Formats: sequence, structure tokens, C-alpha cells
Amino acid sequence: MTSGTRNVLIGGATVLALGLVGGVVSYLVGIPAVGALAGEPAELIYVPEDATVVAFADVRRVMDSPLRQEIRQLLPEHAGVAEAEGRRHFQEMTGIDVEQDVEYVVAYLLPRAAAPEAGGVTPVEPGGGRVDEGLVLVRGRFDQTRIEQLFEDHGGVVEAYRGKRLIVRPLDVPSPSPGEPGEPGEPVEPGEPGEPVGPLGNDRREFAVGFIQAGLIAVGTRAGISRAIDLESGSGANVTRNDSLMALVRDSKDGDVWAIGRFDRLIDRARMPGDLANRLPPIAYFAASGRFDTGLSGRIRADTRDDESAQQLGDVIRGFVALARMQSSSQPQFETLLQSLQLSTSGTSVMLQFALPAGTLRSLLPVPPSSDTPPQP
Amino acid sequence: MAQGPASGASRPSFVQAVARVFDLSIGQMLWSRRTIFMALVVGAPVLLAVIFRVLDVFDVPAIRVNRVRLDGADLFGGMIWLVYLHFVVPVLGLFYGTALMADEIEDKTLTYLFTRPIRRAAVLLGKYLSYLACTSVVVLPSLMLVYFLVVPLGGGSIGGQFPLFLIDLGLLALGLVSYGAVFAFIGAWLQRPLVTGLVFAFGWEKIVLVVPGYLRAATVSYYLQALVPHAMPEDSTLTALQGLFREVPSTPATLASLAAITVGFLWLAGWAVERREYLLSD
Repeated sequence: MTSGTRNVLIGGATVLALGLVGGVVSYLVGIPAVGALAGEPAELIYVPEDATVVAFADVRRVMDSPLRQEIRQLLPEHAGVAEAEGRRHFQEMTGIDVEQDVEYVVAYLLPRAAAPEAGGVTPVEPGGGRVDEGLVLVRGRFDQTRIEQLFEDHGGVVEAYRGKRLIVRPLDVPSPSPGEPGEPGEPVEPGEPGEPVGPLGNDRREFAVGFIQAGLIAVGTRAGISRAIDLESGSGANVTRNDSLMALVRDSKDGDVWAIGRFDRLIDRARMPGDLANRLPPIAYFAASGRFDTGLSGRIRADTRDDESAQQLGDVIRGFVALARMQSSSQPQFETLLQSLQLSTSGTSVMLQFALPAGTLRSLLPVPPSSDTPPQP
Repeated sequence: MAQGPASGASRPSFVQAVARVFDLSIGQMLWSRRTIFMALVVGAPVLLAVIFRVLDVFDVPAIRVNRVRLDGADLFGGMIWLVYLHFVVPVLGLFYGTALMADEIEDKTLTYLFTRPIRRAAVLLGKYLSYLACTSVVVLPSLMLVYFLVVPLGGGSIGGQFPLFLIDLGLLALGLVSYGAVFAFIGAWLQRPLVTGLVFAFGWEKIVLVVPGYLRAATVSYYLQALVPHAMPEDSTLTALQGLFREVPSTPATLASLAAITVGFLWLAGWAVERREYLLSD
């Protein structure tokens, strides 16, 4: 065998071996697909294709922004204490320090009718007016052992699904009064008043945390987490296949926080007063994004079903803005906000942009009482 | 002093003979004109995967079926079916398998091999193994590249799909093994093996698969298709019919059948080589 032949054989075998090693490592530790998404969070692969709302928050960026630091200083002392208390309580419950441990969060909501069977949990028929299924995917640094221990201490049970660990904790549902729907022993139909309320849905009797990858946890229900794991393994379609939603994601991804979704589906399930839903121009999709720096800038986009609806919606917003400007003469702190509003219409899209400098935000916040202010009698 | 074929004192064992022929043939096979053809055949899917990837980067909606965007895993599954299983593997098996002996006849070098103190079947087996090595080190890395390029499209997970990919790799290796054995027999037995091989690979195998009944068991693709972990794409009437009449044998039955096909046809090929008189015409 010549050296050339040997080199070709070794080269081919090396490519094969490297690929196999890469694949096995990717399978075991869940390396995100490089280049699968052009700048969008890789966690979108865990979001079902038919999600109604998808949201993202770059927690690290928001926490580190000068605006947040300034707001923190400006907040009244009691508000700061309450915020710290809330964080501490959450940390006690989950072992996660939001300020230190979390990098970013991706969340989605899914209408119950669209939620397929997953993880052995069969979703029930649609109820009314509430969003039913959801999952929060948190990227950051987590002490898995500690989180598991905390949950186990609170009655959580460690389970495994497709090789991933998840902790399921039954919710503490208050016992209903005798005679009321949901009395112990009587099964409560989904959608009925006695139905237990979960953190991310109306029909959930459990709260679950799944360890999807190193540094990625999912918080929601067992069914939601199972579905995310299924999606990772290629079983089912994820949101990256939904061109309409992905177009909105790509349009919003520059924001530190954003939320996009199907407005029509949300409206269908929302309990709106009177026939307000019918009076609204037919909005199909929405996208909202915000950037935190020394100030706050943002953009809200609505995609209507046709050009005419977009014009109508633009006119409605213009009317509201004009009305607000008239009213703001007595409240000058709102003037800058209203002045910064820019409305534009292009085809079926209506876009409203705003920018709030730190000074304006400062004027909108309640002024903390000065220590040398004499107490009121 | 050079020893003649009749000298039994230094006669190598069958395995040693196979190894010597393998060593001799692999270089010849790898640097033959046929390798250019093989590079084109296995390079095309890689090029296609690169194009898909570039289109995806520029967000060009090119990969759609009935206006539905295909994700990477579906696309890869389609490529396994349509490109590798229906074309690359049979074609490489055909062109290399039928040429194992035919090349030596055409080059008039068969005499040099047959006058060595080794069994003729060892020549065939050594060349068959060199065909396997030669095609495997090109086809399987090509599939690997396609996998890493295509599966992440649309948010597909490389890790999540990897167990299925291992099945794909094994499947293609089995395809090369079994098709190679069948075509090695055709090449060793028939005068014009390429034509017969083409008729078998792209006539018999395609037609019989859409005919209801037991006739499809007399094809290699019937068993290979039973192992494919991806859904069969219905890209034409033929594949739609195939899907309609598709019966999937169990995995143990499939593996046993492929093993029987390989061993049986290799034995037949060896038998044919041992008995056939090859005429080296001008």
C-alpha cells in the first residue's frame, strides 16, 4: 500500500471518527446546533411550532444596564426591600438567584387545544379564556444537586424522561368547601371553577423543573418539559419551522426583551368586555421588543390581515396618541414619552416606536421621600 | 528463485492471500478513473447540503414541500432515501462490484493473479474487501458531512438525531456490503456484467418493489428500506405506490436476510471465479 493510499484511508477514517465523536458528545451533553439559528436563541428548538406566544429576556443584559441600576437607586426603600424579598423567596424555592445565575430566559405559551399528548399526559379539552400550556427555559448557572434537594424537601419527585432528569412537585391545592365543585373525591372537569390552577396553566396539578442540558433548565409542567425533550430529539416540529413567527423573531431579536405571537389566538381565548374583540381591527400577529441602556427604547408591531386593516389600526392608534397628547399638557412628565412615539404603517404592518430617556423615566417614578423631610402630622 | 504456482511449500493461507490481494487492489481501486466518478457521486449530496446551508443563512425559503418548510431532519431523511439508498449505494456497488474481475480482464492482468499460488476465490474476496474499504472511506464521511450540514437547518438537533444517524451509517455500510456481493457475483459470472447490473439495480429492484406479493423479497432494497429510520418521501408515483404496498419485515429477519444475501452471493461469486474460464481477448 502506497503512502498516498494510506493517507486517503486514514483521512476518510479520521473524518468519520471525528464526526462520530462530535455526534456522541452532542448527544450526551446536548451541544446546541452550531449555526442552526442566525443570532436567535438556540432554545427556540424547544418551542413547539404552534406556540401562541414566544418571549425572550436577556436577564443579564437588563440587570447590568445603567437604566436598571439607576431605577434601583431611585426606587423607594420599601420597594427595594420588597424586590429583594421576592428574589430571596424565589431563591429559597428554586435555588436560583435570578440576579446572579440567570443569563437569559425563553418562554412560550401554547393554547390547550394545540397542545399534543406528550410525556404520557393527555391534555384536556379547551376551557375558556385562559392560556393553558407554557414553559420557561432558563439559561444560566445552576446547582442541579441543590435544586433537586430543595424540590425533594418540598415533596418533589425526581423522574427521568429520555435520559433527562426532571423534578415534579405536586401543587398545594386548597381543599374546596363541601358542596362546591372540586370537592375531594369528585373529579373536577377542566375549565370548571374548582379546577386547580397551576403556575403556567389552568389545569395543572403539578410544577416541574427539567434539566434539559448543562446550564439549561425548563420550568413548567411535566407535559411541557417532556415535549421540549421530544422536540430536542427531533420528535415533533419546533417553532423554527414556523416562518411567520420566525420572521417576527428575526425582526425583534435586537431587543434585550421581546415577545411575539398570534394576536388572533390570544384574543379568541381572552375574556374581553362586551364586543371589544369584534371592534378591534383584525390583527394576526404582534411583536414587541425593548432595549435597556441608559434609557428604554422599544417597538411594538402589529401585523393585520390586510392593508386596509393596517390603515384602520394606524388611524385608531393615531387618535389615541393625539388624545393622550391633549391630556398630557397637565402632566409634563408624559410629554417626552408621547413626543417620542413614532407610528408607521407599511403594508399590513403597523409599527409604534418609542424612546424613553433616563430623565423621563426618573420623572415617572415616585420620588423617594427625603430623609430631611419633616413627617406629616 | 521464484516459485511456481505448483510449489506448495510457500503457499500462503487463504486469509493471507486475501490480505495480499486486498493490499494490492486497494491502491489500484482508489487511484483508478472510477474514483473520479465516485467522488462526483458522493460529492454531489455534500454540495447540495452546502447549498441548502447557504440558502438558509440568507433565509431563502428554498427547502419546501407543498409550501411547508422542511426542517433539517426531514431533509436529511429525504436525502438518505432518495440520494443515498436509491442511487449512491446501488451505483457504487454496481460499478465497483461488477468491475472486481472485469477490470483485471480488461487490463489483461488476470493471468498474473491466477498464476499465483493462491485460490482464485481469495483474489475475489481480497478485491471485494478493498472495494468495501475504498467506498466506505468515501461514502460514510460524505454522509457524515451531509448530516452535520443539513440536520441543524431549521433548528434541528445534531445530538438528538444522532442515534438515528448511526442507524443510517450502518444501513449504508450494509447496503455497500450486500450490493457489492450481488454485483461481485454478476461480475464474476457474466460476460457483460455492467448491463445486467444496471437492469438489476434500476429495473428489477424498482419495479418489483411496487408489485404486491413475495417477489420483492428477491431484492436487496426491500431489506435495506426496512431498516431506514426515516419516513419514506413520496416524491413520485413510483414511491407513492411503493409506500402503498410497503411491507416491512422485522429487523432480525432483515439483518438475517442481508447476511444471507451477502454470504450467499459471495460464495457464488467465489464458486464462479473458481470454475469459470476467463478469455483475455485482444
